[in-house]
Amino acid sequence: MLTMTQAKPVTEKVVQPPVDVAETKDAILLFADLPGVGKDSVDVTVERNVLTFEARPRTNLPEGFKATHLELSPNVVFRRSFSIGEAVDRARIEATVKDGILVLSLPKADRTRERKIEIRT
Amino acid sequence: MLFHSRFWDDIFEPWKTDTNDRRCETAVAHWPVNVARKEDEVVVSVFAPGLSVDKIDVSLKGRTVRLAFERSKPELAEASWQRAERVFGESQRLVELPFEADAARVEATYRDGVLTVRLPRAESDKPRRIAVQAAE
Repeated sequence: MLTMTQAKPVTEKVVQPPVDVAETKDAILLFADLPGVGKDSVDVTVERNVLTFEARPRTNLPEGFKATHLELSPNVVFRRSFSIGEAVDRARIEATVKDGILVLSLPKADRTRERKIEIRT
Repeated sequence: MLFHSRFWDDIFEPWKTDTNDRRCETAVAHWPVNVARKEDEVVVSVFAPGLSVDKIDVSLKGRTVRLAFERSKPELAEASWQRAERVFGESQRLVELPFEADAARVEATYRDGVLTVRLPRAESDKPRRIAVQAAE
């Protein structure tokens, strides 16, 4: 007898979201546009020197509605990777998501931070 | 008001209308729009993260809903930008509805960077059934 299994989403469509990067005295800040993504649906991983974030936006429809025009596919996965050097203190990387924007704070490792050397007289 | 400095009708001039049901025309391509409907209601979603609610303007004219907004770049003290791919400034998307909406019952919410607008069909726009009477 044939058993039907629930259809899985066939393919995921990987989209590279736009990213801004700013450098401050103590950290590198990365801003990524991830519309439809709440804080519980982002994965940030660091493997060796590669930092990757991945997120699935919420595109589900209210009950009874049918999509008539789709510019953001329900199968979309936002994913992007960056290489980070030894200059980043991996243990203190922080991620926050607000209004669909992921902010990654990559603190500089102590030894790469600018240090002010006082000159004694 | 923020978005009304331009003349309304200018915005509608470059419009084209498809003959099929996917009647969406973009003014700006950066902000994806999804449209869904059931019989007497349409839901329009605009994927535009990082907006503040007071910089969002939703308006209705005839069968066209206009979603306008302004996104400002975050100001960081003593930072240098190394990469700038994201888009800021004023933008808008126009969506043609399959019916006339009831402006008083339109609901707009902004959550997780998605502007969602629910537009119920106006009572006056709903088809009316006419009873056929047998001639004597």
